[in-house]
Amino acid sequence: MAPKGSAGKEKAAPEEEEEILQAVVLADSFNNRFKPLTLSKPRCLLPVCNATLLDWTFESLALAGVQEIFVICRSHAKQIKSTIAESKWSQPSSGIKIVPIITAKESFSAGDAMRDIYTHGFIKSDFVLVAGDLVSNVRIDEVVRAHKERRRKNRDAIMTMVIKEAGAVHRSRPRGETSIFVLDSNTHECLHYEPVQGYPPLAHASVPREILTEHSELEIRNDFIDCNIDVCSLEVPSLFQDNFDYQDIRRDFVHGVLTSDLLMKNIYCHVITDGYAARVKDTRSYASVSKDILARWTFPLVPDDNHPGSASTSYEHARGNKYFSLSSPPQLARTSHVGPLTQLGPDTSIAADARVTRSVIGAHCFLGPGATVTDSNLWDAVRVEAGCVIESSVLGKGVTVLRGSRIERGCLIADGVVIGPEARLKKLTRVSVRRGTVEEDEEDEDEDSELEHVEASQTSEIRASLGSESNGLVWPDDSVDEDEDEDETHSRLNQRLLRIGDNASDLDISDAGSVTSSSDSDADSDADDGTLSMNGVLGLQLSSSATSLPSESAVAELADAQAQREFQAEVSASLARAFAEGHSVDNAAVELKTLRMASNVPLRRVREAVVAGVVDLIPLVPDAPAQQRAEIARVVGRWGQLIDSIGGIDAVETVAVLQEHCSQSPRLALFGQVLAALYQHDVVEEDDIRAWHALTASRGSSEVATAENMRKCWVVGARMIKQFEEQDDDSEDEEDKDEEDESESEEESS
Amino acid sequence: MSSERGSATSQRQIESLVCRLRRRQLIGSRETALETVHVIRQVVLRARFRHIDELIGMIKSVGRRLVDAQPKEHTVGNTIRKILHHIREEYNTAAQNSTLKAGPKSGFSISNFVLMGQPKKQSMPQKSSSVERNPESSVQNDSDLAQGLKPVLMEAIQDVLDELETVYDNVSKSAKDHIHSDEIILTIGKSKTVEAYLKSAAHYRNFTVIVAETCPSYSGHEMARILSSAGISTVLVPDSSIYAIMSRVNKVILGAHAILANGGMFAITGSLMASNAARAHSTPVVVCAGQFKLTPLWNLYHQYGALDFADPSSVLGFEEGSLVEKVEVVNPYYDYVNPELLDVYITNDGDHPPSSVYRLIKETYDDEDTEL
Amino acid sequence: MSTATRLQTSPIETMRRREQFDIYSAYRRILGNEKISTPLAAILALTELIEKSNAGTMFELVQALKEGAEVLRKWFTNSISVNAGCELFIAFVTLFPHESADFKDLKIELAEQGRQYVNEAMSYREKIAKLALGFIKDGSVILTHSYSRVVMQALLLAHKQKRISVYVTEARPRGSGIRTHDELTAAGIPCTVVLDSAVAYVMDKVDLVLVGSEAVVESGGLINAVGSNQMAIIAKAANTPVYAMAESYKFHRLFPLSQYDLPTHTPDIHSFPRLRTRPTDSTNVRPSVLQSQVDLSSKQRLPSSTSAHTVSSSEYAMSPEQIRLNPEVDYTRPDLISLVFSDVGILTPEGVSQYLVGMFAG
Repeated sequence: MAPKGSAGKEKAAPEEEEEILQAVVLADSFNNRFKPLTLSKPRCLLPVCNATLLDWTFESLALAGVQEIFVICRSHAKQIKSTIAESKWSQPSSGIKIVPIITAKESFSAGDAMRDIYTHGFIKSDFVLVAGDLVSNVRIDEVVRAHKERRRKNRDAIMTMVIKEAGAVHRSRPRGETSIFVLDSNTHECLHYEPVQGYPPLAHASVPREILTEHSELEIRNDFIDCNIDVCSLEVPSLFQDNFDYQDIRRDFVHGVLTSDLLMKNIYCHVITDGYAARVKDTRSYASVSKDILARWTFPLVPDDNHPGSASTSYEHARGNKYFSLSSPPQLARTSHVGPLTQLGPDTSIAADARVTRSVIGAHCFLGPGATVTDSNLWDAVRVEAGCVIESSVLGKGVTVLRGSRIERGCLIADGVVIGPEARLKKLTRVSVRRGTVEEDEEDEDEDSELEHVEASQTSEIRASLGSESNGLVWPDDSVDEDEDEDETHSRLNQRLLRIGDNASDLDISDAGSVTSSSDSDADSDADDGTLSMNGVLGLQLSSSATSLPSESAVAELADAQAQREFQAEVSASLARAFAEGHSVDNAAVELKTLRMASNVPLRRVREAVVAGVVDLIPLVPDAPAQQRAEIARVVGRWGQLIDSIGGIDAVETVAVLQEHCSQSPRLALFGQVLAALYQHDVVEEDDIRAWHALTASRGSSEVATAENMRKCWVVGARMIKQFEEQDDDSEDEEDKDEEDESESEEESS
Repeated sequence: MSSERGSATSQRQIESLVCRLRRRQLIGSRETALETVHVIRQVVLRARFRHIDELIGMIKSVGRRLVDAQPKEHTVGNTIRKILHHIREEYNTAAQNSTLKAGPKSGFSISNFVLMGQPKKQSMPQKSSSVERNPESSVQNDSDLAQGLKPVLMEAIQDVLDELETVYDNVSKSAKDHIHSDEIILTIGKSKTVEAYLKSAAHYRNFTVIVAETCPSYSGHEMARILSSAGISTVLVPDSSIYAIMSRVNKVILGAHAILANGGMFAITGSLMASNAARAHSTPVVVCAGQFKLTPLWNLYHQYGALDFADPSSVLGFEEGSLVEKVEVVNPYYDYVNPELLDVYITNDGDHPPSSVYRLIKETYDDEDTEL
Repeated sequence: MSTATRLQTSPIETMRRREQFDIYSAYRRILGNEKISTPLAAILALTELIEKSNAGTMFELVQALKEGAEVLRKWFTNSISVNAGCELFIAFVTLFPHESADFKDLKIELAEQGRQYVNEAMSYREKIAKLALGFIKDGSVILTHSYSRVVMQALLLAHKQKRISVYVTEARPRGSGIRTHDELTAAGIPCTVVLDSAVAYVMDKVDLVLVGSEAVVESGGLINAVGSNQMAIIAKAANTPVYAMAESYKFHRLFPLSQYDLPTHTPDIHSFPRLRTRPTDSTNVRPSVLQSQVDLSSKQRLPSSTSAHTVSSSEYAMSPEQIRLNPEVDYTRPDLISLVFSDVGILTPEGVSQYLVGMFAG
């Protein structure tokens, strides 16, 4: 028998390890990319190569020696539960215990699920966290072993992420959602993580300078498939519990842990070179994972060998990676043509002159005479009548395509839809069943309203395109409300990169290959070529290939500028969140500190950002000075302390920063009042104002565009000092003496 | 079935073996065969049966599940068939001793007469099936017999086990007769049988082994390492040079994955190339294999999938993204080598030409078990 | 000892037996049933003979059976398959354990056995067709020769599950290939008739060769409609597998070393025309052949004398007389045959001889 291509593994884990290996499967995807296919069933029950995704995931885990699996399900939870109960997995002989756990409807993110795990407390030791759409043949138990080994030495190594090398351009690598990993070449510690979106193309990625200084060898890589297989220690759920705002495991948790200077935890990566792992994250990867399975990359998880579907289905492997059901062989007409990379389910019949290529056909399907199906996935009981053409589409269970219809690239057709005759579906059309025609048990209100919204958009023209006998409902193409609120990072264009059949040729993503890697790969880049090669789209030019640049200072400078830009964006985002959600000053301060440490910027930058944030928070109330004063007092009262909590109190600088900011903002007029308010709230003292006033820079230099405004502020400050003096009955004017010279500007905040 | 409860543990064992076979966590013909014997021994040990056919049915159903789990691991089915054969034999001996007169005339028909032509049937004209047709009165008698038979049956299974455990020793017994001093021997892939054979010969003779590296599994590397550490002068060559060096080779020694009824075999990829090259140079091709690899199946080599296609990653890296999309990568694990290319099978029970494999199979297994 | 190859019974004695029971007419009657093949019909005829026989001892019975078989054999120029059936049955009768007191009961028992076997044997073709199924893969192109019921059954069964196409040889002079073609076409299998002389031409397109058989002999070789041998030789040259299909009652205890060892071979097959100047010398020929030999040689002389006139008028076709000089069956060596499918399983050619030894040696 052929040994699996990957590393030799003789025995399953149980004997060697006393404690059983637990896994948590997040069966909910927390997004809607598969709609309308997922109207009636959850994503993890969608069939891939005629077995549900959940089955593939379970088999992947079983292959890795996992013995206990907790399935966290949210939408369609009952359906998942009953499917698991009926499947072969729940039989005692399967050797795996599967526990479905239904979480609250309100949990909308992986973070919520993790918090649920924490509260349930069923996890006893290090566990494997995977998504419910994983297909893999990776020996995860080996990763777990490595993880435990690492934990023995370093208690802070809380997580190991499994990532797969795939090359920058790969069908299974989601183009819209990739990530940059910065790894230590020797230890594979993940030093920095940055999510990347396909559109708009990311021009720069920044790597914190301290990483460059602390590690002699780095790999900065953007050629990984992030399999979302994480080996987590028990701390991980508890960290989620502590940080209630963590949503996404990668974007929030990993990034948060890595940038935090308080947590001091490490995350490692396990790069698999042999073995396969990929997620069905979106319709595009759905298609490509199907193809990978048929091309046997997932061996021994292939249809003819270890098909995870129901025990009764077995497949025969034929030349050209074609798979035919063995239990009830498909009926092939003599003149039909079955092309490579095709799987035909049981009891399927293909009529004369029909062609199927690179497609998966479910059970009990019928392809009529002359029908053509390419690059598509047809689920069970699909009926395609004579002369239909289907390209790169997914057709749900029981879909009927009446004669002469044409379904172009990227269409998603939900269960039970009838289309045609002579229908013409444009590219990327999504069709579901009209309400009323099929009794659907709508699960919640917003889906109802969503359908209503969809229904409202139907025009006679759309109806005509579906054909006269259709019961379909075309979903509008602009997917404005397609995503959940927190998924704001997904631009609509980025979504397109995740869709099946959308080649996105109109999007400007020049896949130029790797243009980044060092032109003079000398000196310290012992790391092989692969480590520095990156997708040119990302344009990671300088900051990434820093190790091979000739001049260290130039590197630092550039990296610095990059880091600052990045940092400012982060801080303002963080502040906005704090303001909007009403965090406590302490919490907000911690977050800012973390950010500062991660980005390694001077304290002044943080101060600038905070002051700017606070000032901008003050609503402008023209024509009502009293009210304006009250607003200022409120805001400064609430947030003023933050300026001092960010680490290091330097009131003089605060005033300078305030001046600088006001001079550039429409809130110039408020400078005096804000300053007064700060004074009132003891953020700045009289002496500080004097000290500031005495600074040469405060007077504004003639070279700067905002010098005029600076000067105005300075005058206001002077007036205030006068007031102080008057109050103190102290009328000495020494301060004004020494400030009439020097026109050297220090720095300008951009 | 009454035995259902008692065999709960053996059920679990079966299931775990099924899973490991399916997931390819159990690799290697001999290991698989051994595991199978262990499982069947448990089944027989715990089985309660009133009639021998009940037991045979039980073993067959277990066998079916194991074979279905991994149809390409032929030794599973072979082992089951062999055990069944032994059990029948023991039973028939016992039955003949106790009820010598039971042989009814009804069993003798023309079709059975034709079946007598089978080589192994000559000694016992009564098929066990004919015994079944005994009148009801003898059932009681039969069940006593069957139960009392258990120790004998266990012994029969132990025989199968012993055979498996000594297979390497027995195969390599004749090594020094086949390998002469200063010969150059070519082998391909890593086979434990070939390894034992060569090592045994090395005690008596000085010879050189050329190991083809066996792309894409490169198991030849491992083989070369083992042989050279055993003190055999070893040369490692790329597969592509097999033909070129064949003129200097005195003998080709191959391992087998399964020996088919027509005398052909499945062996690691590259074996066909080596055998063909050997044929072109009239170099003898010797196959070392235990008899547990004898497989009473014919038609497998017509099925494309029988060659067991592994994942393409060892041929083309997954990271070659643009190629993965455009190129179909095929990585068969076995070659089918037709009998005309082979000269002799050296087994744990004598040396046989490919043409007599058929007879061996007829002798080793019962025809009714060919389809489990 | 019942090797029963060639039995020398005097014609007179035969005549006497035939008066008692006309085995040939019984045989013809039985053969009227389309499904029953010649060896089975022979077995049934012999069964009837047992029932009618008044033999009182085993020896007499066997003697009677042998005579009956001889009678049957004489009716055919090609008696091989009849022979196979007769010999199987006689060997069976000889070896049948007979401890029963009454010989009459034994005869009834034997007759019953014969019928039972024939009934059973009717399902053999189906069994063989199923065995062959595994060897026919989807999309196969199959070459077959002439017409064979068991091959037809296998093809029709395969057609239900797989997309096969068939080339069939014309099988001159009887043209039985045409019958194959018609039946297959009616069943929806694409079928093309090829000339017997075009086998080599078509061979490269063929995945496997499937032939029926008249008999399978002890060497493992095959006796089948003429043309099978050349087909097997060509297939061998092209490395195409040749599968023969034979029910086990066609296993025949015969060990031909060449074509000319076949019982069907007569000296006049492919004999050269005798010159007119030399008188025919036919005194030493066996009686059964004498008849044909005489009329052949007389007719042969006719066309050769008139060949200049007749041949030029028509297209170049063989005259019936010329055809008659050709064999009906030929012998295919075992090394040309990949496997033999039979109801007792799939056998290598060597396996067949083992069966035969087992059956007839005891």
